[in-house]
Amino acid sequence: MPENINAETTGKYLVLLREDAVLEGMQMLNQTINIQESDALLLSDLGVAVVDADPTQMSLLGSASEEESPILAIEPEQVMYALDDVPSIGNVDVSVEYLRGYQEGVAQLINHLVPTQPAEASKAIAEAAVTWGLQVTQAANSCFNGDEIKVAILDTGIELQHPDFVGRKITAKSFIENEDVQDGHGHGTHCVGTACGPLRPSKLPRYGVAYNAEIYVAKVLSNEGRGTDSQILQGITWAIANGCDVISMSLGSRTQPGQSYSRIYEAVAQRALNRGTLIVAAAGNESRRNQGIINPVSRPANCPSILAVAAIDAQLQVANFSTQGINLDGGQIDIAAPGVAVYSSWIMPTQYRTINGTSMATPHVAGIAALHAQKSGLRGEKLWNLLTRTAKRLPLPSVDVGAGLVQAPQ
Amino acid sequence: MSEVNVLISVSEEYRDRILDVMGALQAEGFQVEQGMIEIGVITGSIDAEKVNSLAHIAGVAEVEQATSFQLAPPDSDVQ
Repeated sequence: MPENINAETTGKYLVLLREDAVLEGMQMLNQTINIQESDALLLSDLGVAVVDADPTQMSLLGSASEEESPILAIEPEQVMYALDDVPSIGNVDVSVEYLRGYQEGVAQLINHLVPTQPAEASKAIAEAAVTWGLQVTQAANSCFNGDEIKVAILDTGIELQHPDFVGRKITAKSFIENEDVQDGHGHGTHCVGTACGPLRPSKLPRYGVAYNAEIYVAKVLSNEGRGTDSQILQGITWAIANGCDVISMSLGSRTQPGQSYSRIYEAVAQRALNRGTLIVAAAGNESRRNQGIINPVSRPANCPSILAVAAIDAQLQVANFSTQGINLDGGQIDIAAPGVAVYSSWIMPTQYRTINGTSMATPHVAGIAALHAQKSGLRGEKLWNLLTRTAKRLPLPSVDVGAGLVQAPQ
Repeated sequence: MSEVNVLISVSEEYRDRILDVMGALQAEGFQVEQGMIEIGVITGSIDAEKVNSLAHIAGVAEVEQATSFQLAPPDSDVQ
């Protein structure tokens, strides 16, 4: 939507005061710009003052405030109008300005979807210091690290000899008969890496989100990558019994259009949420969008109470393989995260690998959920809401990306 | 007669009596594999023909056939 350059103002100013310094802020207003009490309306519960002063007086405030200032922001008061009803087709009375703005909006959308130069479309993101996934999710700049938050990764286990995890406290248990938690596949190590990898890995770039989170590894998939419902459910139970705040499941099975979700997993996920445990799962890789093949969200990510994660690439486009919220009965995409060309840890001696999948997007969300949990103290459903509310909205359908690109708290 | 692996969700009212539900299931020929109190789920197996009788047992909320998951091979590009 084009900016309204002719915003109608009242001549007054809105002043945002720091919540714990409202009176101090009012005093500052009085002293700096010498206003009388009648010139300022203080909405103390909101920490906002509406001030009747001229631009010269207001500019004095700008120069008076410093870092610890009780005044956080100043903006001109605008006049607001009720929105007109959308006119029905056939009896439209719109201005030329409106039509030009609409035309511009459509042109911008087309330019975005159809890049004129392929080179422009693939802006490579430098990954010398930190992976692109940590950059676009703002995990790279976050001052949170998952401290005291328990993150469980239910997968093929973990590479116990990996230099990036030696010395890191890991609680692990295998639910695969005759196999221990030592990862014999790589997938599990990759997911643990993305969710909780170290701040300073033995080799750059950094690839892990919640580098201080407490890692819980449940081996629910064998070294061949196979697991049963029973093994996964046992892993979930173990994680909940251990008080895990987030459970990351980069696993799923194909669903058919029209198929509903598992009532068992849904009941489990609801019980987990009530206990303060958020379950995050991969939406599935069954699509091949370049061939016109789009498949529905996998089981059990298709459960309403499981946060289903889609994959996007470095250009913030939906990954070719990412499933879609086709099935209206459950089966929605809730959020999106980096899932193409994701670099993370792998089993030795390979040590690191770059692969694709909604499996890679999922631990990004799990790690970022840990950061949000640490900052906000929220858990379960409230943590879910925080993740979706703070997601970066993308110019893409919500059946593909849900609320948008997950963002780490700063 | 073939056996099927089954997942059972215990109803909210019976969650603190999960052992009773397990007993009732066993009486119907259900072989319990796991009873998971934290999530209120019982896994096990039973003759395929008897699956439909399980839903009528007190405390049984949902009955589903157990399935399995399979990752792509380790060398696969998409995981």
